[in-house]
Amino acid sequence: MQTIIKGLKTNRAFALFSGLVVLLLLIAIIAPVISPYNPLETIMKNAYLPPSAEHLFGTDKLGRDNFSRILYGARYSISSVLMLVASIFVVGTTLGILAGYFGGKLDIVIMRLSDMMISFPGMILAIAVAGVLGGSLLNAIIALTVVSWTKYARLARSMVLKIKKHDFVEAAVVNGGKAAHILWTHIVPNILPLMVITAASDIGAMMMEMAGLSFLGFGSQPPAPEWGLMLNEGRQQMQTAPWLMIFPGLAIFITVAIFNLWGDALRDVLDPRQEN
Amino acid sequence: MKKIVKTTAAAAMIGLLALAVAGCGGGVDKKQAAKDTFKFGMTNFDDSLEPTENYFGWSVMRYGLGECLSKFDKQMKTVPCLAESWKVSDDKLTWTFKIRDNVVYSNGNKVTGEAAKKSIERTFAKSARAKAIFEYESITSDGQNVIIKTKVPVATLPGMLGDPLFIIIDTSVTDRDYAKQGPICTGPYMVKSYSKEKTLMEANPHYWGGAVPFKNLELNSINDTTTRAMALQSGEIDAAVNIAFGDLQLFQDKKKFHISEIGSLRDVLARINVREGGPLSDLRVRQALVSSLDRETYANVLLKGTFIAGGPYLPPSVDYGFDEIKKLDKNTYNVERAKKLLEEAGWKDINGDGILDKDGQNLELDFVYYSGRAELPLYAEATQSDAGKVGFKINLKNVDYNTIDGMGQRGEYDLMISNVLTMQAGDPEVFMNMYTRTNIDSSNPQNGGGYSNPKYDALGDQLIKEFDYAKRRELVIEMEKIAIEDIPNFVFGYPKTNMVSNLSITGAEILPCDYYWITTDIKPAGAK
Amino acid sequence: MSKKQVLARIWQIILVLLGISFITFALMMLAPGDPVRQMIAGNQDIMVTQAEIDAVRHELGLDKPFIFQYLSWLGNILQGDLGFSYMRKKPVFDVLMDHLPATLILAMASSVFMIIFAVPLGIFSAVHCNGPIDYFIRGLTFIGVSMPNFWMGLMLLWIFGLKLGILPIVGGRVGFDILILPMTTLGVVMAAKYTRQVRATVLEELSQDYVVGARARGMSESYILWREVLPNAMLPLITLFGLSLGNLLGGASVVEMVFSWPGLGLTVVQSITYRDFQLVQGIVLWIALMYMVINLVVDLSYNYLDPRLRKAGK
Repeated sequence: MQTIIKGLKTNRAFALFSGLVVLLLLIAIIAPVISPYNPLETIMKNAYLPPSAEHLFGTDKLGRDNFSRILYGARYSISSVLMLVASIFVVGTTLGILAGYFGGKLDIVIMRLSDMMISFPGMILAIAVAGVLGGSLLNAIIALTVVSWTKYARLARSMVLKIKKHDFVEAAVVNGGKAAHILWTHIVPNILPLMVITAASDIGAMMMEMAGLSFLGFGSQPPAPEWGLMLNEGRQQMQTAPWLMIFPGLAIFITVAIFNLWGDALRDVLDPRQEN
Repeated sequence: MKKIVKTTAAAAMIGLLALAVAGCGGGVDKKQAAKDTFKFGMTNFDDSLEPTENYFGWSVMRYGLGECLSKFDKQMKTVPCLAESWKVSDDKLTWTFKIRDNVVYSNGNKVTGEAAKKSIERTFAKSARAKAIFEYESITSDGQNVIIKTKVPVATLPGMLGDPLFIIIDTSVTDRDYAKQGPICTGPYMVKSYSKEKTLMEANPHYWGGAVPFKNLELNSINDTTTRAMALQSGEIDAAVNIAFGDLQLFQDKKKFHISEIGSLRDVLARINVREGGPLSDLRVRQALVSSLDRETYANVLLKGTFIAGGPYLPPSVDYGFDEIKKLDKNTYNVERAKKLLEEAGWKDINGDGILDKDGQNLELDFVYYSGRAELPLYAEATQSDAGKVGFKINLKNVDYNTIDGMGQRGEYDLMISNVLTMQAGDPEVFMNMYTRTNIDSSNPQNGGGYSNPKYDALGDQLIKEFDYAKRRELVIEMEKIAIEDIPNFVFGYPKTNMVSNLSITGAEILPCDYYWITTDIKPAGAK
Repeated sequence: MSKKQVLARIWQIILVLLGISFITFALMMLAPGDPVRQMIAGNQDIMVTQAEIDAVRHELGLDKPFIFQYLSWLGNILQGDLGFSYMRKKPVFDVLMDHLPATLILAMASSVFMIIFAVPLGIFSAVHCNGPIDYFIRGLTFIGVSMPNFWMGLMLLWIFGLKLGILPIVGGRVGFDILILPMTTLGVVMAAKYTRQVRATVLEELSQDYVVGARARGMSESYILWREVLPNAMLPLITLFGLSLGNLLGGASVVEMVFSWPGLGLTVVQSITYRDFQLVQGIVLWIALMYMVINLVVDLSYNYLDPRLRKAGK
């Protein structure tokens, strides 16, 4: 934490991108205040209006204000991607720690499972899982968690294996410390920072995966103002109402770019030795 | 170091340039092709041309390859095709079809009564669906006549034989893989090469119906609507079917494109679950629901006029008294009426959450839809919004296309929307009975909504037995009147279907019947 | 890797394939939806009677218990029979062979595209680390990784296909002119990703002792880069290339869909929506197998490429 504060002071890029991330979160939080219209309110006679002073980004197929939908979309898309990253983080890290710490059969089972998942074509599995469960935001999160946890599990496991060899852990084991206690006081605090960095720098990529799934119709469902879904809907009007495709696309692009840049800068700050 | 970078960069540029040049080359070649080739964009999900399997016969017919004894004209009347005439015996069991004397297959073999008989027999031998359409006692031939004796009287037999399942093929040809090369048929074009993605056809030199307008056809499967429209705009194809509502306005310029648009034979039908216990078992709630929906605006604004607002069971494109029944529809858009009806039915918003309730139950409906067709999610969302304004809470459920049948039969919905074909073999009998006829001991599993009306069932029974067209029409209209009164299901709208072409060709007109795309009416511009 | 290790890996591959096939099979069986109905009616929205459905279901053995179906499928696989695609009315093997070339061509082409851009740009960026050129290139890579690929694909199609009219819009076949846009779409995103990796790898090598030593001995910078740094940086890059190729063999569904490129990615999405079990199985197995074999080959190539390992092997 102190490193981060120091980073904010010394690393200009990090400070800038952190500011932008905060701005994004702020937009998401105060979307209801700054949106000129209710994003769900339909005025069907006004469908497909081009951008104008009244409707900055035009209106969509049901006459809803596109600008308000994009703003609310920040709330919807960012919160769902944070949930997704959190879910992957928790599942992956937990399994990785368990495998690394206890070893033996548990390790073999978890690692074989992860081998399998890694050789599984990711998007196909996600589509299959989402197809089985039915399209919804929650199911998309489950599907992408199933596909993506292995990376975290492997990372956590390898770090636990390293830490386990350290004297203080071995000493704790010899002294008869309980597994839960050792894990909590010695292992988790040591691996957490790197895991968090990994998670933070994954936000952008995960957002893209979510949008991809929504684009294929397996993610969020109407009338949610989720950007990937809006893009999917706008696609049908690509030429006659291009604003329905351009603005959600830009929103995804800008948000993903900011999170990526921030993740990169965060890495620099917390782990200056490692470039990239 | 700099040198290295320059070299690599140069190499990269050269690579790119080479790609770009090759790309240009390809584009130019295509545009220079002379107008003896007609390039067509369409949807196709099938991978076989065996007419007796699944619905693959549709492609065989759409591609201008196969023909039947009969066909359907612009009014969906059954008219002669390979058969020049037919008659039925007095006991209504024996049909005699007389095949035109000049009809030959594309290999030059004459189509005799015997050849047609063998083709029909082959269909029955290979397809279970054929038996579901009708069952025959015997088929015989006599010169150019093919004589079919049915087990029970079948009123619409000539129309049934117009189904692509009964495409007349040359069964004496055995050295062909029908799935990959197509059968030998009588249509104006024959297969040069076939694949799911692209099919090349060439003129049939033996075509019985006169000159064939194009030497070659190039049939492209472009299943994505956006891409299909773009391909037509760029001139990569000369014509395309089913340009989506979002794209149709791109082709309004009459100096460049011709739009042929007509009402199709389809409904966007909402099935209603009227079982006891559900809110929609109350007729007043059904009336209120339908009254709350602005179907005119959906069709004209949201779908940009590519749909006609719903009302009667059968679309205006067929002659079953559309206007007369439409007048009886009490549930056109009327928010006040909807609110009043709900109040009469005892629904009030007691807890003030904007959703009406009764006996502690919210007025909540599960609306099941699939997103395979662009209009369905739109109708679903519009319903959610409009019905919401009078106090319904509509929960949208987007499901896979192939799950709706099961859900429909099990009644796992309050409302379920789908795009359905109303006419089979040129006749609405199957559709009229499908979702509305009482389901007694699984006699009609498609009616999962639980609607039952003895009067409707009695009319349906009569319809099955009736031979006279005028009387059949009366019966159907009676059934439609019950449906619009009692709302067992209701129609959101009727899709129009279209074919859009550029001006290098003429005669590209869409027909109401889904079976026909490529016809000899489509000609190069300037040809007679 | 020793022979024993290789054998162990192959054994592991077989186990993983077994697991994957079971999971896929279970998923497809659990999925709601009736493949039979779709099989009969295709996408035509036609009414199908229950009797028809039951008849076909029985004919295909789909009314048998799950485990029975799985084991009989497995038995066939062991005899080299991948099963039959209901949707395509062809053996699964034939469908694979129909679409594999397109997938391989696209994967190879976009990987080559990636290398052409990522390697020089990455090196350039590393050599000019923290200079304006470096920032410019890194900026470009951020744009590349942050753009949804389907969005970029549609935009490219719109610009080059429609507005400029220099590239074909209608896909559906394998052709050089058609290849350009999907290749670029996939290639740009990958190039952006791997430029950063190349940069990082080269930077790391540049900070190694031997580089410092070489500089001290007065070697020219270009000599150091070409003769010392790049050979060492090749290893991780080959791994990356292998991984990206493996991913591309299964992960290009969205791009294939946008450009109607007739590859396996598009086919597998269709087969999932059609619930064409055996085809899904066949494709998933095939992709997983290729992915693992490529990884094995990459690992094996270490033996030959890494001078240190090579010496150790001798």
